[in-house]
Amino acid sequence: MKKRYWFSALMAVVLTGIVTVQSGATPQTELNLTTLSKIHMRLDVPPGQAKMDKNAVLEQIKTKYADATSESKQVKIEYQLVTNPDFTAFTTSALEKNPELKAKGYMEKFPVYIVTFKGIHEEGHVPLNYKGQTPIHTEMSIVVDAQTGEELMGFSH
Amino acid sequence: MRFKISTLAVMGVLSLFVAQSASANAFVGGYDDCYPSATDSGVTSIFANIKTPSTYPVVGSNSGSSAWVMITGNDSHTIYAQVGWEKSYGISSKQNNAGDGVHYFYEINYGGSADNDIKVFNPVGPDQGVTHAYRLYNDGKGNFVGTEDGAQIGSYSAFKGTGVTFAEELNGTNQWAAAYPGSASSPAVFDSLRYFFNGTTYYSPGLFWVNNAYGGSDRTNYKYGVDGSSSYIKFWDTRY
Repeated sequence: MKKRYWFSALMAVVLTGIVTVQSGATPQTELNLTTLSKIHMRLDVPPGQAKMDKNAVLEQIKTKYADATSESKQVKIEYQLVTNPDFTAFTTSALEKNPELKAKGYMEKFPVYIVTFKGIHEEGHVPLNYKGQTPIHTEMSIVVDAQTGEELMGFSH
Repeated sequence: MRFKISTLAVMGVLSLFVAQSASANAFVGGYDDCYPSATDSGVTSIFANIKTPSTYPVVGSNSGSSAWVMITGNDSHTIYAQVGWEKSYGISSKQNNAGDGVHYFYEINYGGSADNDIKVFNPVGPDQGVTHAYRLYNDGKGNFVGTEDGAQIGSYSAFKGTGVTFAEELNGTNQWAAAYPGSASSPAVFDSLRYFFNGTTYYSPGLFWVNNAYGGSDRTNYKYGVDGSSSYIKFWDTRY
């Protein structure tokens, strides 16, 4: 009787997870989804735990971008599924360590960590006779393969 | 396909550009001097080989060096897409253990406000002294796709090709140290410059703009050269 109860509870959890993913539930994120959509990037709710340790990845990126770490008011990390058909310029190392990524060539519901430095100052490249305001980027995000720890791409705005 | 050889001469220096930022820039010639007009339509692609110098420039706080190609989408140039390489303080100097810290990037602006600019970048960039091919093109579905050696970095679909034009630039913000790419012994090089407009390929190497960080025309620290082929130009910072 007790075993049946636990089996039912487990199935309920699994089914809830499947329904959540398939129903296109909005992921919990502090990133600006509207901004991401302009570069054709989409987030989805990840189904389970990442292979790589969250804190290890966070420390890896904070160490690599040490100046950003000291400049930022906050450094956040999120575990997400990313879809971005626009980016195929991965490093050889990133492709070799993840056969799925190598085969697909781009990220489609791909499990990643996104480390975001908030409060940086970065100016965009303005062209000749530009008549707008100087573009200031205040957030910079680094996308990391949650299965291998390899850095994949970054974006700022 | 008819090939038209553009013979844009050096047109001097203007000083009105710097109001929004203390940047020093040198622009390679573009269609219609980079000004779109009502009759402009269908600039569908821009292509350039860009050779990085053998030693990357030193950049300081709020400084940077870059080389990129661009297509704009309106008169005020507040809508555009760019692809190229950069070494900027904002990102690359933060990559303390990433070697040279240079990276490829694709950047868009969608309206000219301070927060209307988004940049996508790689964790790596070109090696020193190596030539890579950069291209922006309309994929026929309304997307301006940016590639580096054929690998896509980004695309943007919120503006149409009608009225677009292009520019290429090397810049250095605040003229820090060797802010410009290139030195006398190892200039930064653009070659195979070309863009596609209404079914015609145009080559346009003429340098038509250089300004210093304060809007002046001082080119003391910046030189350029063009060979006779009209599709080639090189730049260097004379201090190095």
